[in-house]
Amino acid sequence: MRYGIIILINIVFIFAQGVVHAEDISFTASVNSTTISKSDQLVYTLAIEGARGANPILPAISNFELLGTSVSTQFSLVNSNTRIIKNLAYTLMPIKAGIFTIPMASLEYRGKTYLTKPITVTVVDGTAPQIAPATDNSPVHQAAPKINNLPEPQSPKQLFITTTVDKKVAYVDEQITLNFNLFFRVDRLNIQNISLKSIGFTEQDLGNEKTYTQIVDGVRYNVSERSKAIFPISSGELTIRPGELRGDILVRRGGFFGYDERKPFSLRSDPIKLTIKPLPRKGRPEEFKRAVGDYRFDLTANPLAVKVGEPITVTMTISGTGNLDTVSMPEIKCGKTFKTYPPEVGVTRGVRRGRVNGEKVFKQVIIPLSVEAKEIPAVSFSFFNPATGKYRTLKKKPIPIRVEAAPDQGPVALVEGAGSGPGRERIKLLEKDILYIKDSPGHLTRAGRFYYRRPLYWIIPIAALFGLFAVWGIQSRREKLRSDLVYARQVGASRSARKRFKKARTFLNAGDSERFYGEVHRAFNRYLGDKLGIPSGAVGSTIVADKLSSAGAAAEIIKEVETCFSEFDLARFARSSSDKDEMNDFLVRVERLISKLEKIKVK
Amino acid sequence: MQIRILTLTLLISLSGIFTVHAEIPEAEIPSLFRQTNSLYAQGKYAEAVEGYNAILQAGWESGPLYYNLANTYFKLNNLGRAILNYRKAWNLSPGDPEISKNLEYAREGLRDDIAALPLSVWARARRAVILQFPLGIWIGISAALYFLTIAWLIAALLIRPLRKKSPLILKWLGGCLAISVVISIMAYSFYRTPGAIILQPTVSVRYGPAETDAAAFKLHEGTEVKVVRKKDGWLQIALPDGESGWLTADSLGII
Repeated sequence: MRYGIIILINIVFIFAQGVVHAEDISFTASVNSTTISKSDQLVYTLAIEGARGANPILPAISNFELLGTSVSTQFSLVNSNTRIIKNLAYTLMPIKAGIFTIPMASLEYRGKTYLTKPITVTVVDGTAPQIAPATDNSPVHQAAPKINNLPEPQSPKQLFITTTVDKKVAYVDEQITLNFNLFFRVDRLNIQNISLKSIGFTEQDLGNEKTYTQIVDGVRYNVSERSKAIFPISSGELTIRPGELRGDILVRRGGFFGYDERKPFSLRSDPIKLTIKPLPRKGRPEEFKRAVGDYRFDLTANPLAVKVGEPITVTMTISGTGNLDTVSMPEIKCGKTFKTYPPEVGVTRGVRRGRVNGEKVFKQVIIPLSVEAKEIPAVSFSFFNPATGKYRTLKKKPIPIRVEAAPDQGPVALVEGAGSGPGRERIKLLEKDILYIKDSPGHLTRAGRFYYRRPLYWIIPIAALFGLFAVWGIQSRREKLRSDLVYARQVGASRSARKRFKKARTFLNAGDSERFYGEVHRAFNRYLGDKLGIPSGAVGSTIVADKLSSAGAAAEIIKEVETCFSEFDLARFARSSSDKDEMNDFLVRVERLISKLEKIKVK
Repeated sequence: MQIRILTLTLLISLSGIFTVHAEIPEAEIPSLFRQTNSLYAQGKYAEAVEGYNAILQAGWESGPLYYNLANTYFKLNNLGRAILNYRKAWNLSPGDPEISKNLEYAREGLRDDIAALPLSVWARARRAVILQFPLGIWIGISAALYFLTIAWLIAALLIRPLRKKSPLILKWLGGCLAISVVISIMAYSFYRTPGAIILQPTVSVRYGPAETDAAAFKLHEGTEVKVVRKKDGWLQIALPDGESGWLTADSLGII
């Protein structure tokens, strides 16, 4: 859901960006260098943005020979803003030395003609000095770029940031527009963090980021511009801290099926010092509180005819350009003829032509206390206009009202019969106060001892999880015993043998050697049959030895098993009787052998 | 005369509790609470503050207790402590309309008008969901769903006929469990950054944690801030409009 919303917002944002810049057409010319030697080539580039399908008209360029033309399209993607620029590069070779001017190129698009500026190029004999390239745009460069950790082969001019202000001297609470521009020549960027702190100021964003291209020192840059309005809180010398930007340059590696390599960078602009003047004391009106800007003031009241004790809502609307946070409610000097209540304040903010504007509406309820109240008194609102450097006071005339005596209605009956008969009136809020205390302390808990911070809270769920795994394990084993007969026989082999040995021991105690050896033999045979997965009738010395050998049993154990088989035969068929000690030794040996066999894992 | 004697006895018994800070059994809290309420009703707000604080100092807390204490501070014109205790009450009982109304009314007396940065639709929705219950309830719901899921899994393992219905029920249980765990984590992170209320009439917020650091702006009693960092008895606070600065810890009451 969350990702869905993010994707939807991004789609809307991308679409909105497209709409916003659909009419932005840029047509500029630039050269790779304004000074070249006679043997150098000059690259004259016409860049077209926003005029798809339009072809420029190249001016007649004298004193140069056209060697070739190339067309390239540049895509850039910065934070979901896609820009497409078509570049037509003309390679020119100078014919002779001198100072030449490349005339304006023109572009016709939808009935409009766009022109570039002429560019002057100096062609010298011998080697040309290293001079920055020139363009048809004047450069804007407010802060020296400083690039840290920018990986090779990115040169410092690939990427830099500037912070600029529209004014460096301003009054307290006057709007200063702070622009934060990122100039870049790389195709794709991933901006992680922009830090532009202006402590000592309140601030408000001036809309979404703008993107455009600009040529600085002859180099075409994509520019991403963010603006905010800042309002100094106090006077004096204030400093806007350096703007910082961190992110990654994304470099495509390995073609279509490749990956994006991230090259981190960190940029920083210079701090800006501002001089903030205090508001002048001269000419400061008495009503002035703190409002700075250029405002209009409107005063209305409703209703204008009431009975004593009935409320009148006085609405004071202050609208215009400036920091609305500095606008306080103008005072209504009601005296003792009215009771006043705390106002309700509504603020609407906006931005118009880069200036913060809006409307602040104060709604104050006043109640006439006697019929002597004939009018709502005059109200004045004063503000300081930083554009003119003067205070201005807007005065509104008193609003006449008609107040009649309230009929003596006695105590208010809260519960009355159904219907709306004559003499009924709505319950009026006479005064505002906090609601009464509660009678019961409610659900008491030990302060700071949240049950989820106790170890037991976490131990019990973990134990429950272990319990689940235990039940799962037991059930899985049961299922396997039910469904896998071989496994079931293997698991039950030892238990079954022990039972039979117990029985054999009773024969041993009774001195019945024949039944003793018969029981031990059955137990041994059955055990080996179950353990090795041999049908009970097929158990014999050879097959058991083979199975044990393939299960990786030691040779001594196999030999011992074979000896046991021989002894069984001897005891059952050759021996007429045995003493108890002999039988007991034999039983102990067989039990030990089975214990050893238990350790062998049969697949 | 009888009332006077009764009040005097009550005060003496209360003062004994206040000075010794004895452990008060839970069973006695309602009685002490009611006695303190009667002090409030008589307009003895200073004594009522001591009564409510005695219960708090004994280690017990509840939404109504903080609410009554906040009302008492409000009556004593101590706006900062009133708002602080309304906020504590609201944290324990976010759905209580009386707490919300009194908090709103108390905030009408604030001197600082701070325009909060606008919240995104997602942030507003998230906040609305989180505030449906206190943090403890959200964690409790998650725990209950967790045990229910485990119990169902065990039952399905042991009782064969339940296994046929198991996938559908597990989908529901698992879905609800995942949602409640996510909300609990969001609620935990929401309540984790401690809020604080300015308790002094006017305080200077400085650029750094020292008296020598320049004052950036001033704040007034009752304004709510978020505490971002602590250092040597100073707290770095952040305002809803994005501003931040440093204050001494004694200027604030942590919610």
